Amino acid sequence: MEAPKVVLGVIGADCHAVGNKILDAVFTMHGLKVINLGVMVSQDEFIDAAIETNADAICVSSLYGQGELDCEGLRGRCIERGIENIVLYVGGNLVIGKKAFSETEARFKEMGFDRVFSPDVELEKVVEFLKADTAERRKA
Amino acid sequence: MERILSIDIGSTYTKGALFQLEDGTLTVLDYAKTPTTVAHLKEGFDRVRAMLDPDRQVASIAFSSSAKGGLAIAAIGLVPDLTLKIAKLAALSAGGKVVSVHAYKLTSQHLDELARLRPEIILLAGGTDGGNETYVRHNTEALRGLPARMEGQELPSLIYAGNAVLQEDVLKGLQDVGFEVALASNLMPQMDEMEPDGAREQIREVFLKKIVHGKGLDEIVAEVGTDPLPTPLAVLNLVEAIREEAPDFGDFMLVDMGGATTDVYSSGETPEYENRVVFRGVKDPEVKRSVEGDLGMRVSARVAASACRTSLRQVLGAGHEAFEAYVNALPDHPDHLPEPGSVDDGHDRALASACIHHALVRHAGTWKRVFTAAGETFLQHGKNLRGITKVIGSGGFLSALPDFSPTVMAPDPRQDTYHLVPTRYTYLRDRGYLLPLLGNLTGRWRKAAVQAALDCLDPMGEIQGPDPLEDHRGQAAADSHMHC
Repeated sequence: MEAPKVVLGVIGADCHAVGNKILDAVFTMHGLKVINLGVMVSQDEFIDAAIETNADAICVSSLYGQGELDCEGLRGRCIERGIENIVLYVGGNLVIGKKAFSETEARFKEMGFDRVFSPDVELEKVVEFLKADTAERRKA
Repeated sequence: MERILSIDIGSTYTKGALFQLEDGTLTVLDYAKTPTTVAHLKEGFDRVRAMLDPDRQVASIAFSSSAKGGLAIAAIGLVPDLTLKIAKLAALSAGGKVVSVHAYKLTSQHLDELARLRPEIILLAGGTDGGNETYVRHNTEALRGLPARMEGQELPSLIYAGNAVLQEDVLKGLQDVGFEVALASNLMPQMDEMEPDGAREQIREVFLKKIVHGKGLDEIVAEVGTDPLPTPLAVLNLVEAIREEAPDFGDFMLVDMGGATTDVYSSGETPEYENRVVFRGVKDPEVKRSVEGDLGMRVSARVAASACRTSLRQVLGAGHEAFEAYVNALPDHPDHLPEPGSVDDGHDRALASACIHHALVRHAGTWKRVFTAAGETFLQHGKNLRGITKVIGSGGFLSALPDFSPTVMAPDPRQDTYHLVPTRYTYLRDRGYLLPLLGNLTGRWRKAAVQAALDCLDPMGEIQGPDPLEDHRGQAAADSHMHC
């Protein structure tokens, strides 16, 4: 089977580049096909890339605390632009302040993300989820 | 010693020059022009040839044609900012004229439009290699319905430059209904990787097949033994040749202004290595051509003046009413040539400045200011041409204006977007309007043509415009260390 294709990037006015490079390296090492858009990526740029490459998933990073603002509406935009079934992940320092992660997770799932990750997640675990979720999507 | 004839069949004039090649140096012996004979192009061609070489002794002849303003191309891509944008760039860099653009799925309205516009080429793209297939499949199916709508008229040639996986399907699907289909390498084989050369080559092939037949061009080909180039491609070839053969000349831009359109070419770009700039979107090619269909000195004068109204009022002050009256009358008098030094002459110069300014602005990229947690940052789209120090003016009007250099217009007042246009440059005039004619020679006499092109440029003045980004510079240097 063809390797899962993942569009990767850091959303909004966020220029944290290091984590993005680590994700790219780990995902690639584990056999995923990565389309890395780098930092300061807009919602539409994620979707543009996913359409042209026929990607299975979009993985959004956000490190600077504005993730909630930047990610709001992304699922809706995907639906509008015809990739309603794409797998959507988000991870990083998603909100500022001391909030239980479960609260953050619930908030982002409500926004349409399939999985939400905290900054200390094991990346191998993310890879496993990605492989399983994208395989499921291809069957559908 | 060898003598070479170069002729360009323009939409208004057929121009030619007789060159002498000695020790690798080209010199102009003679120049001639005559109105283009639209019904039978060979008549004007022969007239120019007779003026320059009455006894037909010159064996080396190169020629170009801008017949009908170039091949009419309809570009169909998937995402507007990705494959469709690259399809447009490829069409322009092949010397074509983009008459319509379509993203995503073609609808029956789009097909009606295509049937009405009757482009000579449809450039179909979409999807990276191994990427999206849905849209190209849909659009192939839709295009199968085009022949019925065209009611027996000649079908556009179809060039497919999308997802390579679908080549066979597109070829078969469209050949079956009567299209002539050419396959080219994917315009965007991978995300953000651009490969326009395959499509460019196919467009050139169609040019030779379609434009050459009819109107007497094929008779010229039979007589002189060489194929014509589309005029814009001849100029683009020259720009590329200068870039390769004369690296000391440095990065530059060329503005070729006619009565109806303004073509802009840029060679190179000067990236600014600052932490504070993040590049987004599709990268422009190193040598880029853009065409402004609404900026020109006669047919498009009215539209150009209105596109530039704010800038022009600042430059003209109280004189702008007289200027507008002049410009409004121009499209009905495309042959009008004002007396040097007259009021009209001044108006022409203001109009030329405005066209140059806006053509450069539209060609160049932008920096959009964004405030991030780490401070002020610029998002760059397109080419950064701020470091360009030479701008060449060519074309019938700019070549004919001896003591002209463009007046700098005020920059766009929008606060957060900066246009990356040259701010300090030398304006050079192609004094004999020889550049397209030398472009014809870059295939066989590359080095000599480049040298001759540089020799025919007159420096007219140093231009220094306002630089709204300058203030940011000092600040940028002060805290350029950004932790990302």
